[in-house]
Amino acid sequence: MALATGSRTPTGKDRPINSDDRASGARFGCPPGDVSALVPGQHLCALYQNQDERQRLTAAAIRGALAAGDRVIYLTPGPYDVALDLLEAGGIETGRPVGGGQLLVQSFAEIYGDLASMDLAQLMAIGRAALSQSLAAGFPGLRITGEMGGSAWPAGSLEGLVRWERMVSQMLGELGIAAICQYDQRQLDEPATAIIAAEHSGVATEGRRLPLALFIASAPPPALRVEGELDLTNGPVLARVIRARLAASPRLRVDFGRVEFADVGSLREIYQIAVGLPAGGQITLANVTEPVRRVLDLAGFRADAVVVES
Amino acid sequence: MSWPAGGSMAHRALLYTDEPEFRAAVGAFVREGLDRREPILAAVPAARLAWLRGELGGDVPAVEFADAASFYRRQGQATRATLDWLRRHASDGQRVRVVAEQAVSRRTPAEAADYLRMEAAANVVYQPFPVSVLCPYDVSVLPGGLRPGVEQTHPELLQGDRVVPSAAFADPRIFIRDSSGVAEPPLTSASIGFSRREDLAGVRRFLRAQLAQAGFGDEAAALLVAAAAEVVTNALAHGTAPRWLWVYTKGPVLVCHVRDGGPGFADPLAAYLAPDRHATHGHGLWLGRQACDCLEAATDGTGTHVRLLTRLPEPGAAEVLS
Repeated sequence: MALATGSRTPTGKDRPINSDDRASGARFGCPPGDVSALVPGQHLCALYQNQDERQRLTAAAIRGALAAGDRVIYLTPGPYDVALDLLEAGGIETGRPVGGGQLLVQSFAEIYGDLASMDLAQLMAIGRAALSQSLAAGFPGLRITGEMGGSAWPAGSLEGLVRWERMVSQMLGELGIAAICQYDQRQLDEPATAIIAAEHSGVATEGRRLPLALFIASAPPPALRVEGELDLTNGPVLARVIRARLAASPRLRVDFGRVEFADVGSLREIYQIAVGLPAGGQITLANVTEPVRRVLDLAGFRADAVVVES
Repeated sequence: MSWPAGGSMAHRALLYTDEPEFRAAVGAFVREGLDRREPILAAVPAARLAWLRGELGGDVPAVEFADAASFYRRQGQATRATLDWLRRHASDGQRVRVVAEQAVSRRTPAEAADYLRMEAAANVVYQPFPVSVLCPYDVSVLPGGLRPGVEQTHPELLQGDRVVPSAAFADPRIFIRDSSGVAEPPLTSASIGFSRREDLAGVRRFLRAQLAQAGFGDEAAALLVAAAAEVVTNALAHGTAPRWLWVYTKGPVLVCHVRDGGPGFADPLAAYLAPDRHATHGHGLWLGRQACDCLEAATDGTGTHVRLLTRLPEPGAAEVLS
């Protein structure tokens, strides 16, 4: 069944909505929102026209969560191995974040039960529980990426869906959870698309560049693996992620084996956090590469609570 | 001649012309230290180490000998190595001695000028330690223009057995400011502008490409990229537009020149001071000084200029990291 206010077959005049990110939001009166740069409480809708766009948007949403060190719940109709294949095809290595509890793949029914009968109080309780579990597990924040398309109206009707999205907006805003709702635009006509887009704070765009670094929770928790480069743009993210993981456990192992560059400011953050740890607290920097070790040495950082392993 | 047995730092230059003069003065300095059981560090060129060993009758356990060629390979590393030695030997109030000589005549003019700025900074940097520092200068080969700088950077001069105050001694901050000039990059230099944090990754790519083209190996390049990136980051965090980076070679030296439109460092000594372990800034410049052969910081009417100078790798030479 097509998700449409009236019957409509996609025509050649349909514009690929995500190929022009400036136009996509403006077209429905919504500002564009970069899926790789979500802020807490943001509620974006993502519209895809084909499998390739779906894959790129989903991968960008997950990659954005990994670049923030957040936990991300990927809501998909399933099956899970197909969903994970989609992410792998989009360039996400899913093994570590799944193993470390950072990437959770679930169905709508598992998390929300029956959408049509849910009320705001129930939704708030579900959101609050998911957020507190994320923080307790050592994540600085929680994101949700949900596949809304591909089935009948998930909330019974367009009106039901609007009511649902409104409740979600309120829940996300109050709890500071960020979410992206992905819709298959081929199953929506223009008026339905506009109505759905209006219930979101923006229409998602893929983002222009890959994130500089990923902060990946790896097993056993609360281990952390950093991949990429650290500088003024993401040093504060590193600090936020490390603080969150230390809140879950005062001894943290950070795998630096895939850090290609780290500026002095980012490394200083680690030492300053370590100095403030309670007795017994410790940060171990593991698999530190030679260039990073030399920066650590020459910059003159020393702290009893930091152990550097090559 | 006698050196203080207590109190704070003493810093004297010895302007000598031949071996007997060096052996007499430095030998007396070391023997007095041995008599007082003061730990001694001698970081001097290999030829002078031989003179000193000859004078002392061989190696002496209480004297740590260091070849200046490696000790001073990078000017910033000499400060670091000396500070580390002082922290090990002089931090509990134990008085110590250092003989510090560099073969200044074999340095590039920029490196020699940087050495004198370090001599000026030494009056402040080593001040917390009860240390007697003797700096021999071989005036038979000392470039003529450097002699006034030696007298401006040492509070006292050793002449034979006599210690005389240096009439030309200058406030270290004023000496460093006045001896830090701006050299404009050639118009043909490779360059890149930067204005936002998001530009940093592109600046690093630019640096890596330039260093590879200049023949630096991966590890040496990684260290220079880290050093230059710190100066660029400082320009973003503390400077103002326009911000620009030039990379060029001049003779045997690669120059990374960062300019921003700001007023620069409030303290001319900023690039010479080691951050303490609780410092919240200063590590970047400290790294920069140690990762290149010498660092120049200067301000002129157009803004603040920081230049990182590094000798180009010898063609075909194995990568050497010190």
